[in-house]
Amino acid sequence: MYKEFEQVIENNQGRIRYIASRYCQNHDFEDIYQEILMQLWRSYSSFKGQSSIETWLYKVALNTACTFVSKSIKHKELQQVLSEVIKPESQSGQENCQAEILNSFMNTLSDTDANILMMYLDGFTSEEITEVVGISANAVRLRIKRIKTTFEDQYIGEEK
Amino acid sequence: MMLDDLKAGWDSEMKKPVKHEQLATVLEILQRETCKLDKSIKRRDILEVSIALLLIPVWGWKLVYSVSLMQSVGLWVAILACLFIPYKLIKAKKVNVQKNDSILSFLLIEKVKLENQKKLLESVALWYILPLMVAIILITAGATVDSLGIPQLTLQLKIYYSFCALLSVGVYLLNKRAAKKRFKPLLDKVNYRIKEIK
Repeated sequence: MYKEFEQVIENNQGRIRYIASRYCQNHDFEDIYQEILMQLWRSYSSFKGQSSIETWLYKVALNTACTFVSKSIKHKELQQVLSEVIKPESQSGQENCQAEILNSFMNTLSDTDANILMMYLDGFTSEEITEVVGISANAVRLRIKRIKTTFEDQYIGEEK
Repeated sequence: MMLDDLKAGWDSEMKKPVKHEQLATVLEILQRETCKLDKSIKRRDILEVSIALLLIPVWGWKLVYSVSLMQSVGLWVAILACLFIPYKLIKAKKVNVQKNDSILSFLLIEKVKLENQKKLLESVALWYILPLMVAIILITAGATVDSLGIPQLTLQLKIYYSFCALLSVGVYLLNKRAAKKRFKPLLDKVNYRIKEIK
């Protein structure tokens, strides 16, 4: 199980990192990252493969991040190694620009809309997003449409 | 630029390489720390319940040698309190929050859990302080009764009661403060998120 879990984390490192950075406004990024990893490890034994591993990961990570309260107990050893692992890698110019646009747009969205956008960009279907968020597929589609319109208003407006 | 144009950027963000060896170390420490944390939570829960349960035979034994009806009533109250307090604590913890539920159902269950914990702290005077105080007063005052069954309180006992009363007020206020400071902001946060999703 340990090896499998390691593989899951390795494959989803980007998602975890992004979720942690999205929710770290008032807390340490490493604190949230560490808590998400802990909760994923705790929940992994109950993962029965009824949904995809990505859906399960989003549920656990978002539920952990959105109710996160900074803990007084900090695992120093873990934090030291973590800070090395989660150091952002350098990106190419175009990717960097896209990431900046994405991040600045994400910051204008509510947490729910930002979560939906993350999954949308990740290629999730409305039904999969429904499974994670817990609202109807129609509501998800409506929200995606609204997010798209807001984005286009903001960025196409700027380009013009 | 359309929203879908950002998909490529997102994909490359997700596929950033990881430092494999360090990740293995992180997971190893993580596994160890989680295990340690689970053990300490289990130990704390067992301690909470076992202290109360271990006191029951003590009260029972005292009951056999009770010197007055007042003391016997006090000992019965103590026995019942030793059963009731762990029951209250266990019941409050029983709400099972699953992190792999959908965000909405997770938040709704989390809300129930937080409300229970807040209520538990706010009502600490009723389920924790009151039965213990009543038991202490009846047991100690019951030991001083005269032939008519009227307790003869000494100065030391009066000082002791005053100290217990002060301690009880302190515990009550601390819990009330914790309910307000710790659980109210959390509940507000959860309620806000539920409203936002709906």
